[in-house]
Amino acid sequence: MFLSILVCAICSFIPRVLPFLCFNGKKEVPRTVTYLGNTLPMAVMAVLVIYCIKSVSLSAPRESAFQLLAVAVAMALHWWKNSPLLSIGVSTILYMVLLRL
Amino acid sequence: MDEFRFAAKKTVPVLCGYLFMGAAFGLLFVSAGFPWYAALACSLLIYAGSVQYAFVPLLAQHASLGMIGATTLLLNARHIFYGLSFVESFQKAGKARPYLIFALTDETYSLLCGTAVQPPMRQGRVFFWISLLDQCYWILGTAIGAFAGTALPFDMTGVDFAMTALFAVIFVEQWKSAKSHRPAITGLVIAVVFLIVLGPEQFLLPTLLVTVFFLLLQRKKLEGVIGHE
Repeated sequence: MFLSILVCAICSFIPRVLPFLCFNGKKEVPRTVTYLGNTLPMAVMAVLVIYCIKSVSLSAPRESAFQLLAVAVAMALHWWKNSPLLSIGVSTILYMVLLRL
Repeated sequence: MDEFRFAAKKTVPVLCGYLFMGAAFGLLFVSAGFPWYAALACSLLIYAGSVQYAFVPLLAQHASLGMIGATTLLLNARHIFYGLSFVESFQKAGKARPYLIFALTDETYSLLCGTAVQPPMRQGRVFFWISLLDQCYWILGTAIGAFAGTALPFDMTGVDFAMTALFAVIFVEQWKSAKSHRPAITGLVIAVVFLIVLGPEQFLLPTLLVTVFFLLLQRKKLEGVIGHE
C-alpha cells in the first residue's frame, strides 16, 4: 500500500514540476507560454466540470438528473451568494438526500 | 507576521472547501478498509484532490503500480498548464520554491492567480503561507473524515459530489472575473464533443490537448482582449 502511495505521490509531482524544469528562468519565458498561462485556467475548469459529470447518461436517468440538478444548484448558489462553503455544502447535501429518496 | 495574516485571510474559502473535501476523502479512504494513517500519508505526500479520490478504488481493486502511475499522470497532467503561469514569479520565492511547486493544487493555483501582493509584503512569503495553510486544511480535513469515519458508520454515498461542486464553484468564479469567455466556451464545447465521441474513460487528455491547440489558434484575437501581462 505504501509503495502505491509513493508511486502516486511521485506521479502527482511530475506534471507540477515539469514546466519549471523546462523554463528555469534563465531564459525569458516564451510569449506563447505566457499566453497559455493566462487563458488555459478558464478552459481547464470548464473541462473539469464536464469531467466530473462524465458518467451522466440515459441508462441511469435518475442519478444523472440528480447530478445535473445538484451542479446547477451549486453554480446558481455561487453566482448569487459567492460563498464556497454554502454552494458546496448545500449542493452536496442536496445530492446525497436526492439519492436516498 | 503581516504576510501570514494576509495569507490566512485569503485562504478562508479554501479552508471551507478543503475541510469538507479532505473529510470526504478521509471517509472514503477509511470506509474502503484502509488505516487512518495511510489516509494522512496520502494527503501529506500526494496532495491532489482528484487523484486521491481516484486512488481509493484503484487501491481497493489492487491495481498494479503501473496502472496507478498512469492514472495519476493522466489526472494530474493539467497541472503542467498551471506551472506555466508561475515560472517567472516562483523564481523570486527562494527556498520556498520547491514547496510552492509541490503544493500547486487547483485551489491554491486559483488563489495565487487572484492575489496581488503590495510592496511591504514579500510575494514569496505570501505565496508560501497560502500554499502551506491550504495543505494544512487538507490534512486536517482528512484527519476529521478518517476519524469520524471509524467512529460513526454513516452511509456516506454521494459525499464525493463535493469535488464536482468545488470545480463548479471555481468555474463560476473564473467566469465572473474573466475578461473573455472564449477560453471557457472553447474548453466546454471540446469537452462535450470529445465526451460524446470518445466516451467517459478516454476523453480527458485528448480534450486538454485539443483545447490547447484551439486556444493557440485564437491567440491573435484573445491577446487583444486579455493583454500580455
